[in-house]
Amino acid sequence: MKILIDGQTLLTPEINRGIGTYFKNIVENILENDFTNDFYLTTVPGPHLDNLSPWARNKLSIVDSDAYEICASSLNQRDLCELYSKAIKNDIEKLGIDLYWSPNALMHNVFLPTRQTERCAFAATIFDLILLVMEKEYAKHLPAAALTAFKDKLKQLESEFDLYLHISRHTQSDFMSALAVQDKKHIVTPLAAKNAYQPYPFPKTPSANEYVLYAGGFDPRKNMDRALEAFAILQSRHANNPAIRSTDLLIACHMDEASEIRMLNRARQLRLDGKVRLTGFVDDDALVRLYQQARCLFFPSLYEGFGLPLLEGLACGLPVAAANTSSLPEVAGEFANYFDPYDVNEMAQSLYQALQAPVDYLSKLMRYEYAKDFSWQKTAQKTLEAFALFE
Amino acid sequence: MFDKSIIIITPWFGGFAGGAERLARDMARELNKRGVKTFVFTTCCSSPFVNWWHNDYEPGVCEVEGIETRRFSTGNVREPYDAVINKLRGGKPLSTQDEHDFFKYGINSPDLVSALGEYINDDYELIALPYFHGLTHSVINEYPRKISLVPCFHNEPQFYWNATERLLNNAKHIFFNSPEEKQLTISRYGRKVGRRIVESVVTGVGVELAAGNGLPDGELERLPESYFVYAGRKDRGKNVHVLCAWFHDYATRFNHNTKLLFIGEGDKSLIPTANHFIDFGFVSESKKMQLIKQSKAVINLSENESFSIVTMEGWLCGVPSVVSAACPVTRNHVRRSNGGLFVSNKDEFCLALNYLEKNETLRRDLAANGRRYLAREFSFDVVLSRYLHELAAN
Repeated sequence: MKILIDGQTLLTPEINRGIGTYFKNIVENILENDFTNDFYLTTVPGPHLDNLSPWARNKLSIVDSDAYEICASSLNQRDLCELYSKAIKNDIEKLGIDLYWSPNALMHNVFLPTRQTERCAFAATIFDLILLVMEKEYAKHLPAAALTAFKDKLKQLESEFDLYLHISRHTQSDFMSALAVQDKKHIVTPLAAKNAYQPYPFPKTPSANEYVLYAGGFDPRKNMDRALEAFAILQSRHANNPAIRSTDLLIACHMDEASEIRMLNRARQLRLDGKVRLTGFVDDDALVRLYQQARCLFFPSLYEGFGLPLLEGLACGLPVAAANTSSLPEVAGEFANYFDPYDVNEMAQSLYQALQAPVDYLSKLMRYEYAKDFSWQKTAQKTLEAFALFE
Repeated sequence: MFDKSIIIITPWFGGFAGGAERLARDMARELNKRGVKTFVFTTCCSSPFVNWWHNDYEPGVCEVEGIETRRFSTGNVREPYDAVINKLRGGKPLSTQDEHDFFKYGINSPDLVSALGEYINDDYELIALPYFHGLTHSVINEYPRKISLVPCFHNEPQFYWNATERLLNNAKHIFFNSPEEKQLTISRYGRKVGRRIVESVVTGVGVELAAGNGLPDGELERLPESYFVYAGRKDRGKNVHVLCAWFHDYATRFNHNTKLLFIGEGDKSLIPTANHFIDFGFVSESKKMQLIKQSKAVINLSENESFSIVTMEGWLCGVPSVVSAACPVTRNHVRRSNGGLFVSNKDEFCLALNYLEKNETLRRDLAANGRRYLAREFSFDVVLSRYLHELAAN
């Protein structure tokens, strides 16, 4: 088969976020696990290609067109999308492509090409339906045009695509409930933690203060405000427990200055002065170290398409306190203390339980082994099996 | 999970901070911090610069910078060692017996060698360093394949002695500080000692800012407006005489007001009398870091380094490095990190300094690259986990 991979993600800031992690790992592993198909990547030459290994770049055929650069402008104008769609159609026909795959179809800053040829099958990876599921919440923060564009893309996916790769069963369920796609092909291709995520190799960490790791963000669904409130309840409930008193909340995510000030003010109001540490953006290596040296992972998100931080935390052997919503129970299985993310008292109690969970070698090893059952290699093989349905 | 205790064996500990001693101290301190009980076994001699056959300290257990340290009396027979040194000074070839005497009667401790016997068991891992001194040879050869070696090899005459081959054969694990050190060892001993060298791990050396050295802007005396730094021993072996000659040329041709600051002990006579050289001598770690932080770059033209922490210190303080292209170790650090420039002659040196002095953005970017390289390759977590992974393997 000849498979055309849409490479727009490489030119977006998301290449350094979760979606980018998926893009890089799935492409690399597909190339490593496949010996019969030919893979083409739509993009333009440039340093963004360094996100892929030299080996992968060598194995891919780069399909270079001026139209593939316009996505970098993040404009979503109809004429630009049309131009992009035509370029895709031309390359499909010129190269004799059997399957076009958009690994990031619903991302706001990429084009979803309209189907202008029946020459090949169309596939897309679906991460989540957050804007639909939490429409009311997001309507307060996003321009109406963004929600409209999202819904338009959903309609297009529904009518023009043949194969959907969902990153969790929960995403598949949301997608199939929202759209008339029951007669199409659906495959669940879960995410995985990178090999670098492993338990800390020493009996204890060198840092003086232990910390709960919150690998979140300021997106409303990340539930940051309730997370702070729950941490304050934990601190006040266990004021006489020196281990809890000396535990900080470490928030690892990119944040702008305004968000940082707001967060620190809120922490002061909750009497958490000096207990909340903000790292700002950290690179991959530093993030692994933050996970490894944490006492536990706190993940109170209201909705996730998958929840990769859960796997990363478990791979590092951490006890986990997580919300009982969306895909999270599917990802962490029996290895998390779950809570209702709208109930701060329950969140505090669950966090306390996670802090009491054993962190001896065997306990860490069990969590690690569980997390390692999710692997990019398996996901790549499932993805290839799905593509083979259209051979 | 690693559940043994570690004993590090080194000739001097506490009164001297050469490269190997610093490595031993940092390793012991950081392993203890991470819950791996680590002790140091050493002699009662305080430093390589005093009488090796005299006990400056009392034998017994003491604490050095929070590390439980056990001291043993030094050997007391000196004459055979002096005889070898005289031969070396006279340029005479050495016999195998001479090599043996060099190590046996150099810095050593028969008491320490004997005491180790009770620690050769499954509860302990023993690591000796460096290869250059007799104590390391004595303990490893006394307990073949029971004690691991951090050789800290340099390309120097002793590296080629037969005694080194015996040491490599008898070591349990061999831990190299750099790929270049390993390559040097393979090229000399690969055929004779075999695959155990090829399969040995390059651990690197942990490099981080020590706690308390968070670079506060403390009170420093009035410093030159623009200066470069050499931090390390003033020694011909470190090419300090070359550095002085080249820098004199730079100051004369490019910028009369730029200075070169020397930090560290050693031979002061190597520094010419000229107003663009300033010798601070020994300074505290904290002051050293502050001096480096305000410099344009750290320069190290030594051609014979087994790791070169000095090269890294600039990166930790936010300044780039200038190193010799003739030194594989420092050149490759700079290449791999893109954290500085390497130079092979006086003209390149002058151009490199001029380029760096004029480009603040470049200096900042190079230093940031270097710092990222250190975090990725030489944080204590990374380096120590390489050791433990190997020690736990068998």
